[in-house]
Amino acid sequence: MHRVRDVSIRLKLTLLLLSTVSVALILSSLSHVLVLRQSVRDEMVNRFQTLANVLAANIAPALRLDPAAAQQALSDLQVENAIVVACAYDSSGTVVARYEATKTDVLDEMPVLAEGFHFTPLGHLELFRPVVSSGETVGTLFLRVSTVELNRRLFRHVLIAVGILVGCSIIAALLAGYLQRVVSKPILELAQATKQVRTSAGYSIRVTKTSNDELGALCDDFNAMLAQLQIRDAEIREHRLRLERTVQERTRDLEAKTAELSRSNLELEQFAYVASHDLQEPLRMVASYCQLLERRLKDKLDAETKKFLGYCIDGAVRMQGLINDLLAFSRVGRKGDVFRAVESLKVVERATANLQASIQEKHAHVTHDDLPAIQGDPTQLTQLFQNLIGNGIKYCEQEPNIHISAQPQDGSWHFAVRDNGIGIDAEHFDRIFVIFQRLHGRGSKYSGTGIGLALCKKIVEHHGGRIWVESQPGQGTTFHFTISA
Amino acid sequence: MSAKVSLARLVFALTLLVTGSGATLAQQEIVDLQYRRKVEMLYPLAKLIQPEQGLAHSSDTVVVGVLGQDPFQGIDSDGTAVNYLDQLVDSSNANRAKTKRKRLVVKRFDSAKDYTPCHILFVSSHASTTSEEKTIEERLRAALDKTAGTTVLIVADTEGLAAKGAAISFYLTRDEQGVPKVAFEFNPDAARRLGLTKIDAGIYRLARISRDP
Repeated sequence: MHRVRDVSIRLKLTLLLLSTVSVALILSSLSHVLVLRQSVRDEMVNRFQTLANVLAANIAPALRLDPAAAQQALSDLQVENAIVVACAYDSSGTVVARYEATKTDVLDEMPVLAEGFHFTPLGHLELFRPVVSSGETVGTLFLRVSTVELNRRLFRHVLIAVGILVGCSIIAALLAGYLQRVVSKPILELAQATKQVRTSAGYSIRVTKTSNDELGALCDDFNAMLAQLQIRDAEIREHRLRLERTVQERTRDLEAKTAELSRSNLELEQFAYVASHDLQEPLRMVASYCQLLERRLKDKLDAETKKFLGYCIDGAVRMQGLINDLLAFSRVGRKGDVFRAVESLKVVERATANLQASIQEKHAHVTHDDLPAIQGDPTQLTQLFQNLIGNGIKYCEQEPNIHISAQPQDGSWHFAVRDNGIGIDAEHFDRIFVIFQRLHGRGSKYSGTGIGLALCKKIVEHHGGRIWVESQPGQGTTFHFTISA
Repeated sequence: MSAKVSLARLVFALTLLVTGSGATLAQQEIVDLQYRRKVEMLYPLAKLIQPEQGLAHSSDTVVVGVLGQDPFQGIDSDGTAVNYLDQLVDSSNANRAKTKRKRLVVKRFDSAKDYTPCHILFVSSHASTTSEEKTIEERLRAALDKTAGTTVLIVADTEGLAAKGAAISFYLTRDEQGVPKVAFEFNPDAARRLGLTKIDAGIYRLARISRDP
C-alpha cells in the first residue's frame, strides 16, 4: 500500500482507471459466463426434455406390444451424438430396451429410477420421463446426455470473454494513459511551479489554467497566492532593508555609546580608586591631628568643644571605613586578578579569624560542613565569606549561629551561608545587592556603608557565579551563591 | 411372470420350432407361450384402441369375451393347469388400486348366438365341441353379424383376418434380428366400422396395416 501511495500521481491515476475498468470487466465477464452457463444448461435441459417427451410418446405403445420396436426407436438416437445412454423400463422397472452410444458408454449399473433431471458429478445430464400410453403410465424412459458439447460451448464463450477482457483492458490502458493527463498535467505543473518557488523563491512564476473545474480554480488560487506572496516579499525586502539600515545606525550609536560608557566607567573606576586612595592620606591626617588635639587639650577644652572634636574624629574614622570599602569594591574586576585553586575551608577560617573580635563580642557560633576546593581569588573570596558571616553576626538579636554548607551543582559549587538573624522582607531582596542601599538608617543600631552585599555580588559575578537570598523577617537569612569548581 | 420372461420363452420355443429342433418340444408348450404373449398384448391393444368408448357398460369395467374354444389354457412352470387370461385378469384386478386400471371381466361364448356385449372380443381359432361355427372365419363372420352397430374391439387369433373384418389379427413373424415374435395386423377400416374412432397413432407404427379388400 505504501508503494502505491508513493508512486507518481500520473501512474496512480492510470492504475486507478485501469483497475476500475478491469474489475468491472472481470465481474461483467464472470457474470456473463455464469448466466451463459445457466442459460446453456437450461437450453440443454429443455432440448433433451423435449426429445425425451417425443421419444417417450413414440415408444409408449411399443413398450408392451413390441419391445423390438421400442429398441429400434432407442437405436435411432444414434443421430444425436450427445446421448450416450438411453433405457426404457416397463412399469415394473424391468429394462425393455436400451441404447449405448459407444462401448465405453456401457451402463454398468442401472440408474435408480427417479423423476425430472439432474447433472451428475461426472458431467452428464440424466433425465427420467414417464412413458404414458392412453393416460396410463406404462414405463419410464431414461436418457444420459454428455455435457461435452455444453462444456465446449462454455469454454468457447470463456475464451471470447477473456479475449474481450484483454482487448478492453488494452484499450482502457491506452485511454487511461491519455485521460489521466487531463487531471495530472495541471497538478504536475502546479508541483513544478511550487518546486521552482521553493528552490528559487521566484514568486513571479505563474501556472497556466487549462480548465474551469476544481483544478482550474486551484490554479487561479495558486496564482493569486503567488501574487500576494510576491507583493509581501517585496514589502518584506523593503522592510528588511529599512530595518538593516536602522540596525546599522543603532549599532553605530550603541557602539559609540558603549565605547563612551566604557571609557566613562573606566575613568570613573580610576577616579574612584585614585580618589579613594588619595583621600586616605589627608583623611588619616585629619583624624590623626584631631586625635592628637583631643589628647593634648583634653584638660583645656570645655565639654561642648570636646563633643565637637569627637564628632570630627568619628566622621573621619567612618570616612576611612567607607573609603576602604570603596577601594575594595573598585579593586574587584580590575586587571591583574589571577584565579587559582583555593581551599574554601581555609578561606572560611581566615574570614572567621578576621571577625574574631565580633564573634567573641556577640558569642557567635560559626559552623560549616566539608568545604571543597574552588577556583578563585583567595583575597576576594575571603572578603565574600567575611561580609556574609559578618552580616549574620551584625544583624542578630540573639547569639548568632552561622552555618556554611556547600553542594556540587552542574560543575559548580553551591554555597549557602545560613544565620538566625533578624531576616529580610522579600520586597528588599533585589535592593540589598545595590551599592549604597541600606535597609537601616544611619541612626539605627545597625551601622554600615551600604557596600558590603554589593561587593559580595560583584565578587561572585566576577567568579562566574550568581548570588541570591532566602529569608523571612524573624526567621533568619540564607545567602546562596555559586562558584566554579 | 414378467413380460420379458414370457417373451423369452416364446422366442426360445419358436426358435426351436423354426430350426427343426422342435420335435422334442411338446406342441402344447409352444401354444402355451404363443397364447401367453397374446394375452399380454390384449390389454395394451385395448388401451390403444379404447373399445370401451361406446359400450353401455359400467365405466370402470372392461369386458373381455372369448368366442370359440378358450385357447389360453396351459400348463404353468410347476406343472399345474392354468388359464393365462384368467391369470391376467386376476392379477390385473388384484393390482387395481395401484395400477388404477379398470376391472376386467371375462366372458366365454361357444357360439356367436351366445354373445352378450363385450369391449374386447377374442375370436379363437379353435372351435368348442358345441360351437355352431366350425372355422375361425365362420366365427368371425358370425361375430361381425352379432356385433353390428355396437362398439367392440374384435381381435382374431390368426393371420389374415383383419382384412376380413377383424380390427386386429395376430400373426407369427421375425424381428430384424431374425427372432420370431407375435405381431398383429390392424385394419383401420374395420375399426371404424366397429365404432372404434379414438385410436392411438402409435398403433400404426407397431402394426402391419391391413385394408378391406
